[in-house]
Amino acid sequence: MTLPERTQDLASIAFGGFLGAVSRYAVSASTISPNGTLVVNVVGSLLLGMMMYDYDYLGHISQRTRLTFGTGFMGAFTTFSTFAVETYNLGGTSAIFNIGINLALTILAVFLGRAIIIYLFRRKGSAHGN
Amino acid sequence: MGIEAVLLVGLGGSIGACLRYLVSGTVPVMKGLPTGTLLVNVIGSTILSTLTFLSVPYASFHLINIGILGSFTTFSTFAYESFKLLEEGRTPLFASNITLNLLLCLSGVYIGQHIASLI
Repeated sequence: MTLPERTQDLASIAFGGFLGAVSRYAVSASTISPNGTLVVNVVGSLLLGMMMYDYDYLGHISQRTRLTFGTGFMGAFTTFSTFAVETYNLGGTSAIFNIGINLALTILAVFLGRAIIIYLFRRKGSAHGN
Repeated sequence: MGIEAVLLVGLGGSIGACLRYLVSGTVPVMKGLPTGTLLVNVIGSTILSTLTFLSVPYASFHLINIGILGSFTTFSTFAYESFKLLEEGRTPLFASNITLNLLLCLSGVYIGQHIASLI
């Protein structure tokens, strides 16, 4: 990879990262922690899942968009560090519940994102008479 | 939510996302495990914990804690990579990835708290 290409990639990620972090701040500041973290993690996982599977099935998403919105935006919008510190602070049963609900809902969100893309892929196929 | 705080969070987010891309890209996939994401999550959780439990007041909370460290770590890529292992039928790797991220990040928070108490 040449230096200008690398600089362009980093600029895309920085742009997405700016918007992602500000969006997370806006969402999690308006809800009671750690529910805010749960919301951003689940929404971000759903959108990342749709984006990654779109790349596999529909092909709307370019490599540049994946860097800007996948690596940049969704990466910055969701957070593991805040989740870990909040879980630690909760302790006991609440910590276990927080871990379980974050894991279950984010992985389910990726699955749902995949299902939406596959549904759109099939509909597109039948619209073309295939 | 002041404009200054928003800009600091955004600036931190740009830095954190680029750092994650650079750091996680240097780590090869080990035994089928997405170790790049694991590494940024553990480092980010440890540093965030150290700063959170620090009794000394400091001014860069929005830039560093919410911006850089929040964006350096990621839950969406972790969830996607875990799901992908499950989809490919690599259930033991799926379980290992989740266990390692939880165990090492929470240990990182524990260690961070102790580092903070020494400062």
